[in-house]
Amino acid sequence: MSITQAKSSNDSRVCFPSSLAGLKQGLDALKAWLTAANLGQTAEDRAFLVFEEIVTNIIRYGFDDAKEHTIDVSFARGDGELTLIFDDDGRPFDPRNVPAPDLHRPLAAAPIGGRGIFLVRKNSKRLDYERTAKARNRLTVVVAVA
Amino acid sequence: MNKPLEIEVTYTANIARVKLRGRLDTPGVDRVEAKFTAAVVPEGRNTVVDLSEVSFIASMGLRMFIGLAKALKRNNAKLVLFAPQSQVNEIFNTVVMREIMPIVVDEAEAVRFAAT
Repeated sequence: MSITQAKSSNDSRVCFPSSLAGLKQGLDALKAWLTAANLGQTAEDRAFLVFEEIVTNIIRYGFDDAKEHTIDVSFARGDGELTLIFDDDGRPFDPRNVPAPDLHRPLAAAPIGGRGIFLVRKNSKRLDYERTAKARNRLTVVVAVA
Repeated sequence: MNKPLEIEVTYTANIARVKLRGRLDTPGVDRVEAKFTAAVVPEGRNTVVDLSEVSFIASMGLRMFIGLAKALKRNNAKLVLFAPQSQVNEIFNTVVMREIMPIVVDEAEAVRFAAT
């Protein structure tokens, strides 16, 4: 079960389980917020891409056990930009340290995956990462609205 | 709520035509990948994919196409994508997807690529 909390007309927050069902709940909450914010298609696409890539990465690779964890995401609208803050209790992971993939490989040599974090970087203005004192990952991604 | 991704497969001679409608994100790929694979890989059919009604793609969608293209290549068949919308085409450009598989404008060109 997801919990969505509108903090103001510009800010919202959603908590959902670390599962495919949880991802769907988070995407629906993001869609509702973006629709109300009326930021335009480009901003929506960037926000969905960042959300999808970061949350999928947390669910697939973030945890050492099979338990369901909670992922907490805040959305905020600023001057010409959107800020998404992802908070989870998975293993430490700073996406700024992930090397860029080699994109110039033919089909036979191309890896199947490994492009998600690269896409986040390409669609964001800024990434900040912190491992908190409570052993949680806090990743802040800022995307341009225009 | 986002509409679930839909898949429709039709066959003409040795070509499979796959039409996708919706969003190629993680829930969408989870919904169609097994059906897509079963429809084209075991018989090694040359496959053209109509993306004209796909409004969004994320890396899980790229992963699905690359995995399918590799599986088809092992069966001496090709995967050709056609008619991507703007967000999808932008993502293809960002990851240089055209160096991995053909992505063309329309179905006629896709069929020509698949048959050669």
